[in-house]
Amino acid sequence: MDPAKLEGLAFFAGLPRWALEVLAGAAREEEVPAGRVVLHQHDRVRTVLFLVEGALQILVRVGDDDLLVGVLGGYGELVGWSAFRPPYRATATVRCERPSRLVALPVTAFEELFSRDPGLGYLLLGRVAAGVADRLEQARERLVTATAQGAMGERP
Amino acid sequence: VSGPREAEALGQLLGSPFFEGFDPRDLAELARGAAVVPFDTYELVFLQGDPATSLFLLVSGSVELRVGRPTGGPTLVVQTVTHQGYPIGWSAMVAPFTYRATATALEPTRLLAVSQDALRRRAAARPEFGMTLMRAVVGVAGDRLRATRTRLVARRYDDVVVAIRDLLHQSGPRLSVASPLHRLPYYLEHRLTLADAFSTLDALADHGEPAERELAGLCADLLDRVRQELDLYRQLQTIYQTVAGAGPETRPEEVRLRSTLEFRRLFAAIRHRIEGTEHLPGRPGHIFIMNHLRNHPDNLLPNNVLLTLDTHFVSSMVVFERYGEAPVRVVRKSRPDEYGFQQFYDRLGYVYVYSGHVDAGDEDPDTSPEARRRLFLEVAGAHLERGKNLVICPEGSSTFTDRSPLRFRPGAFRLAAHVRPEPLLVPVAVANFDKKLTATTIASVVHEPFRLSDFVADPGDDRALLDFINHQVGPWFRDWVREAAALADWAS
Repeated sequence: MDPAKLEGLAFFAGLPRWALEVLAGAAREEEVPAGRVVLHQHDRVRTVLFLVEGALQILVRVGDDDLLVGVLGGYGELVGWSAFRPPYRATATVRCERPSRLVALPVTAFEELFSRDPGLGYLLLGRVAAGVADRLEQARERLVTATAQGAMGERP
Repeated sequence: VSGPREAEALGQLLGSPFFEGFDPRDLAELARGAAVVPFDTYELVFLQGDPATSLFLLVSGSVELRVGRPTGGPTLVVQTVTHQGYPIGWSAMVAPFTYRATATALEPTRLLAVSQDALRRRAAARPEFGMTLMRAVVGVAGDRLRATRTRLVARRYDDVVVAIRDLLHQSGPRLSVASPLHRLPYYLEHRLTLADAFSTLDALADHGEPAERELAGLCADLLDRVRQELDLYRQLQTIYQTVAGAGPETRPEEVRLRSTLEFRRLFAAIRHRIEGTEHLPGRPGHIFIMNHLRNHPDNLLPNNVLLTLDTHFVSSMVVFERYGEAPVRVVRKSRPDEYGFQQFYDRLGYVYVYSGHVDAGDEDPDTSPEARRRLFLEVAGAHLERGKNLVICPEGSSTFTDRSPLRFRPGAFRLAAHVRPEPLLVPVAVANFDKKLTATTIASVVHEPFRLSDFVADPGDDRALLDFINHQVGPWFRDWVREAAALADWAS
């Protein structure tokens, strides 16, 4: 994959050329049809995905149901943050809502980068944390809305 | 370390699960600039949206985290932090470096404050520390995300047990198969084992493995309302026992007082609104008439008794509040199989009315329906003449707020006509007592009292009396109950 294309994603902005080349060398771009599951809840996460086009649903398995807890549609959204923290297992299932284009990067490429330059590890893990924190904020907003509706007697 | 302040800070950092696995030299460096900050009960630690300049660790006490939407409106408690060493305000390490919740101390609380600058400086000096720090932040943010999704699941299914099963299932790899947490969903299935669920959580929060402590905290947050319901249920049990178990030497007035004080404690912890108290007569000795609501079945005591919460609310929070004396209630004589109610009412010295059941005494001509009516008028009238207030639900039955009131019966009005001097009829409309008290706001509205003689010239004229009750009092109450329900909704 072209390093310049990778740099176009906000997550990789400002990385030195050599780092972009390491990551781009391991990255691949994928077209994924609507309905395809790209990450299964509880599976070990070995690949980090970035959304380039389309939309992804985040689903949580409850009994026999998959409950939709969020939709990602932003350019460059990171999927698979569990790859960076123990126990390295997906906390949700991710499914394509529409035909989507994704950049896939094995987590080993990141780990290699981090061992060569821990400063980049600090920078990129900070961006991962920001992505998770943003998702937390969205989930909390949904919860506040659902609770307010519940208080008015409506069901979500 | 160079002094006791720094030593305390280092001790807290070393003991914090957030900093587990960090190089002690990094923590010693952070301890130099860290300080323990005291907060009073309800003191704000930080506000959602404010610049995040410090990361805090809980040293002692507890902190509530509450979030709202940027556009305003309702807010929601998303976490109550009670575990020593738990991080609060990790947004100080995450762009855009603004606090993502409002943190408030719930009791006298001490927090270790580590400045954002100190963390950044150390990360710049030793990037390995920065990387470890960010992995820890990803971990704590991920845990909160998972907890929030679990709460969404609980809301969607209106079933916290489903959500907890899901949470434990998700946490399988981190949790020992022998962990007591696995028993939690089973304890939660039955009201009588709910207390076991909370003692398990409390024990694990204090003495569990790190993963158990964290999960016990998440479960406790999810079960906050269930815990409130359990507390309420226990209070109802206590009230019943206080009354039914009162010794034979205790006078009914004393039992009524104890019961009223217990109910006041119970209702004080429940969201409620009371309006119209300016209409209460200056002196006691009147008849309070109110609509009567069903109780939520969750309040059913093990002996099949459901305490009528709406009447106890009016008695304890409205009438007792104004006159300092518990009123006498008029209640239906319990059926022979309702011995639990009978045991309760007998000790309170309530006035009975009969509703047609047959028991041994019914064969006695002295207890014919007419004789019973006379007896009721005499006993209830004597209370009024002695300046006691009476609380009566004229419907003789109960229903849901949105169907209330049912048709009123004339007994309370005939009593008003029977007593001299003529007492006032004080209308009180109530709403939402048929709902889960922990999930609603209950309301009571007192309306302007009236004398029956101002509306019905001859109360002995049954047609005129029923016409007044059905075509005036009934419609008034329909409007008043709607008004009380709207007041409760607005308060919610």
